[in-house]
Amino acid sequence: MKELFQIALSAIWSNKMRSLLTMLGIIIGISSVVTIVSIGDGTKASMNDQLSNLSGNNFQVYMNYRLDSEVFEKAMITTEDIAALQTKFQDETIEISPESSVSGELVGNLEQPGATFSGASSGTLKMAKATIVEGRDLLDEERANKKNVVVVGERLAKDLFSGKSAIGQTLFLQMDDTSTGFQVVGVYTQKDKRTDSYGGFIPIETAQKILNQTYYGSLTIYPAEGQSIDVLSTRIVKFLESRHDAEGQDFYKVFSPEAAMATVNDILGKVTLLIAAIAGIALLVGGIGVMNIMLVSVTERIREIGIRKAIGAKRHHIMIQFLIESVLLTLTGGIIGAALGMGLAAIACSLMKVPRVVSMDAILYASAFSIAIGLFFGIYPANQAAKLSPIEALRHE
Amino acid sequence: MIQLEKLTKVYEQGEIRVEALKEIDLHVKEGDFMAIMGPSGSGKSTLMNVLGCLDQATEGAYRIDGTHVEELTENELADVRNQKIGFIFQSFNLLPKLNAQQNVELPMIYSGKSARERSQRAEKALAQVGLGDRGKHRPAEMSGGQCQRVAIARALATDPAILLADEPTGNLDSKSTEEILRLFEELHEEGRTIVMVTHESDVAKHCSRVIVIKDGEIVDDYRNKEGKRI
Repeated sequence: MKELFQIALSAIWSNKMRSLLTMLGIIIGISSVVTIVSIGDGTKASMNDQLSNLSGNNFQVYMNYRLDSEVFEKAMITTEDIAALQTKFQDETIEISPESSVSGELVGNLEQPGATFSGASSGTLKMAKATIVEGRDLLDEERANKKNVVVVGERLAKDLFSGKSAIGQTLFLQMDDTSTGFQVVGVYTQKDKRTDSYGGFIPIETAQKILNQTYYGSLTIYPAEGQSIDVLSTRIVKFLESRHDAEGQDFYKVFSPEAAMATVNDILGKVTLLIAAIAGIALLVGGIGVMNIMLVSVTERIREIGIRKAIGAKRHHIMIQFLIESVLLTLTGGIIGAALGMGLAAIACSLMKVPRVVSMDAILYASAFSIAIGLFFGIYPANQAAKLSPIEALRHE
Repeated sequence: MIQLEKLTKVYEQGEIRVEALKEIDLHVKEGDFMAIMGPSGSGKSTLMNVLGCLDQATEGAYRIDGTHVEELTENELADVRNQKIGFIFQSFNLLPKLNAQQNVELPMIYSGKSARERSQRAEKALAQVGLGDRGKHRPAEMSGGQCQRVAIARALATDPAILLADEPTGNLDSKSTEEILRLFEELHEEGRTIVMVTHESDVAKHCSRVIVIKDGEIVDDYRNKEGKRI
């Protein structure tokens, strides 16, 4: 076996240029597949990252905004609805909080002044995994009195008040034509949150007052441990529909980050697979190149095969010798291709600003796949060589 | 050692049917040094190829060292070529990329001998043909006579039952021819069984027994008085 390896190696080595060109097909094929799969994985990881910012295990029930205006009135989620939901689903949920937020531009010297202040009820900050780093949380009394107070994100505090303490300062949010002042009572930091606009929390009652709204467009529901989002969301939608006398009328919709993530992953996976399959054609062409060169190699060495057979080589000796040669070609090409592909993926990922997912799997699969290509495309030429009769092979000039 | 009975070889190509060997009966005894002579096209090379298990007879029985060749499978034939027969070709048939030592080791690779045993035997065989110092040389770096001696060493290395030489001096000048024939005589004196195809009577003179083939039949079979053993 070792000797057969040496024979194959020396055959490859004595035709360096040809071996390199043959490998090139495999290198291009494998590297393009690895690049595409890596970029796909990176994109997936970055999308998942963004989606998981919508925070982990929760879902939203929101009004179908496409409803006609008269039905829309009927569908509005009221404070009573929320209270009823909280009672009814007490055991199945940790928190049901209505959503209401105000968006505008911060007054001040900021490059991108866009900000969204979310209406918060008592448990909202905790659920959003926001922790106070300075000052305090909103108070119940501030909620009840619809005070214009805000707990701002760290970045906002830093950018707007340039290093000075934000607590006690007043900031202004410009919405349409009016500017509303908010007193900063606290600063929070939020785990894993990366968004482009500034964030903050104000009492939900204050948000409703500013928006001049009495209903809520959506609810965020945090299920209790072990609850299925699918089941729970269906039951909550049914419950709301029954309260609004609208069974089966599609008044409410459900959005869950988890389901969205699954959909995105599914689509990205399919797209990646498709492009990789197209790149795989390059690999196929490379494989045919290997077969072609192996056939040439066999033809050139018919006499050598004849000599080997005449002195006692069996069919499988010749077969293995040529198979090792083709597998060495494709495996070397595959490893170079995988390394090249990972390099290209690293460059592409940094240009596209997506995280680079280094997967050892890629190398492993690339190697396994190139061995398979070597075997698949090598078997025909090797068999052609192995089945030569010694006397005819020896007569060959 | 070798026993042929009614050995027939027929080549068929479409309509044309050529009987290259016609019911050959031949017995080669152990220790024989036999020359097969005959004009070109007489069938002597065909006979040699059949004897060397490179080709199979169409009909008839062929026994070598107790083995019935006609019953063997492809792999078993390879084993016979590997272990019972040392074949020496007119054109040496060495692998150009391997050096002398590696060429001599080659048959032992296929019989699965260990690297140590291979190199020991190869060194011994090269020494025996007088090329003990040429192990590292490639065929292109040696003269024709030296190449043929490497080929003989390769044939000897497996310690075969019989040496078959197909026009071993056909590509050599007269000086090298003499050297090679002397080497065969030495091997014969050591007790090796040798069958050699040649069309030169000068070469055949060195052998102890000569058979002459014409049109696929043995037309003469005599002991050579000029041969060393009669």
